[in-house]
Amino acid sequence: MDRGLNSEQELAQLIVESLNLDGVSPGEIDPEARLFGEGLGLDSLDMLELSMSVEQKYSVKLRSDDPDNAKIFGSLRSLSQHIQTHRAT
Amino acid sequence: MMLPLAGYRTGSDAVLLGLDGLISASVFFRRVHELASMLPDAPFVINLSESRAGFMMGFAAALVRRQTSLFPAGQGRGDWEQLTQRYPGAYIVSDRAVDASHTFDLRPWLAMDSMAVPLASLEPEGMQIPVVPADFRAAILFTSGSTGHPTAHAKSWGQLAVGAANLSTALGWSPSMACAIVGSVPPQHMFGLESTVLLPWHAGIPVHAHKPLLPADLEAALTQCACPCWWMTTPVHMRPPLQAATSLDGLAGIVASTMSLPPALAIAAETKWQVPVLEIYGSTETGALATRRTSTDEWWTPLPGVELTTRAEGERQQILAAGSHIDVAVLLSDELRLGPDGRFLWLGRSADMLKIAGKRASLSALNRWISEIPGVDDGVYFVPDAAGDAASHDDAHPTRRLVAFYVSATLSPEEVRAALRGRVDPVFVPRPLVRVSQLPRNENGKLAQAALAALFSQFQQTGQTVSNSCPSRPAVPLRQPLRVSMNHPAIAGHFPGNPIVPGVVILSHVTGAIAQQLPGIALVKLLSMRFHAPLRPGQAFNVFAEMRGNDLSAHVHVEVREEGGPLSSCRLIATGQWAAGAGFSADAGR
Repeated sequence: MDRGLNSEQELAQLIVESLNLDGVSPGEIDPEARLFGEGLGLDSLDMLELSMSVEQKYSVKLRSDDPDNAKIFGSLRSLSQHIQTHRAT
Repeated sequence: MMLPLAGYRTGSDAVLLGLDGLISASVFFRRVHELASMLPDAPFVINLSESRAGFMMGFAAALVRRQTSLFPAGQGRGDWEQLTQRYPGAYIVSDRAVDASHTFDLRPWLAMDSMAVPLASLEPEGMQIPVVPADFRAAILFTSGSTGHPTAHAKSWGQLAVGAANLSTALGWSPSMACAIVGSVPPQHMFGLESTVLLPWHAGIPVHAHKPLLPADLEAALTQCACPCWWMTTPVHMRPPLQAATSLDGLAGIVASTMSLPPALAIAAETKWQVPVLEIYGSTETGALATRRTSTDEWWTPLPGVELTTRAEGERQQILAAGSHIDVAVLLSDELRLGPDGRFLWLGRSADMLKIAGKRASLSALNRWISEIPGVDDGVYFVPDAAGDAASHDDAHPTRRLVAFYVSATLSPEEVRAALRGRVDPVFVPRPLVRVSQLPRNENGKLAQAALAALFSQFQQTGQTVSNSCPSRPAVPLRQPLRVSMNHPAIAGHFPGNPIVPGVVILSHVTGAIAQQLPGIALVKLLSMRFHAPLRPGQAFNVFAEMRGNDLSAHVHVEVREEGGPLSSCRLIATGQWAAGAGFSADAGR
């Protein structure tokens, strides 16, 4: 569980840094809140940038038109879990 | 004259390719006719479908029913909601859930399993391709105008069909072309409509049913299409797969538009994927006008039938575009240099229009939106230099996200961002959005790009901007703030129900204040006076007079504070410049 929380924090850090989210500290991101649309209010340009950063850091390729897409990008927690499951070890 | 909706040759030709196989022309048009008969009676239909499949099905069925399709500039509620008011009777078709009263859900019509057939079982069968009158108003596209209200661009079916034929010729596509199209651009925008709907219909070739966005989406789409694919995209979408070194097997070519494609990016893409990268020049008003292979050619070649002519307008030269797919000649907002052979060089876009990820907005409209948010005293957008950004960050920030600065005593960046989100497309929500104590307006109230660039670089380096108050608060302000009372005789007629202190009354207070602050100086001549924001009766204001250098002119800034409260802001109300009496130096009044 600790490892899960740590990786969520690490991903939150990556999101804030790669997307230039001024005024948002990684710890403030609610792991269950929606990342796109409402919630953090990210959009498709952010999805592009985030996918690049995630691939660079974790070597995990993200899909936006994946049937599970809504679930994967749903929240910090779901995205983090998806990355942990698929990351190259 | 009637024109066919599409150029598929046999009923077994594929129209849509996707996860579950393909949809043939015979099945597609049978479903289109069925859907058309089920649509509600209405003159207009707003097509919000995000997938290519939903968009095509809804658009084709609307054409069969002779309903004009409305394509909003974005998917945001603000984009389509006002269309339902502006076009009474309009209903929405969409391939996702939309929270609106008059909607027609396309999802049951798109269940691929009910339509898709495995490749092996394909038999040539008949198909019923609809025909549409050339003069039928097929679509109205919307762009954000300089006023902030969307501008409507109507297109007849003839314009759209002829435009697709011209584009196909310009791309060098032969009638027997065997390929498919994959699109990352929304079909509601002119480039997306032309390249991912009208072009495949005209050429009789299939298009991928979805909108691949990320590199892995694109890879999957190319695999699903299982034939050479042309990718219709934007420079923004080209960078991630390049950076990730995605292989993109099956790619036959790339067509990019919506913002200018840097030649280095075009060369990198051609080298990496060994396919031609073509760029389209055009606008919503005109559709595609010209193409070039950006890696090797600086000059644009106009589409067949397109004619560009120059017209002298005062000192400036304006360019008119006419053509077989353009209704009336359109005045371009770009500067071009026309060559003797009909080709042209693009010199620059009118600075006010911004294009990001296929969305466009007027910079002045964005500046107005942010400044008009209740609680915001002043605000401005800034476009960071894309070239400089790419050079310094080495592609880490490929998207040209806008930056904005604002002044407010009460609102946090999150609150301003939330207010903007309700009014502008998400791609125009600025990031970073920086709260400053004032904007670096010059004495004329203007914001120089250089001053904004300096402010931005200061923010990037330090994470904050230097907090100081009024720009040139030099000399001695009055001990007591000034006020124009509601009882001032000029207020009654200026204006009933919306009292604003007339400029001439502000001016007389300013000259009085200067006389008091700098008693030795005589104002010889008023050189300029500008009013930047309204002053309400009762609002306290201060005048700051300053001598600059030896030019014997005076500059005036006015501060405002709310009645009884602390100084809440230093909104610039007015600036003036005078030639002052000779014989005084800058120290005269101190």
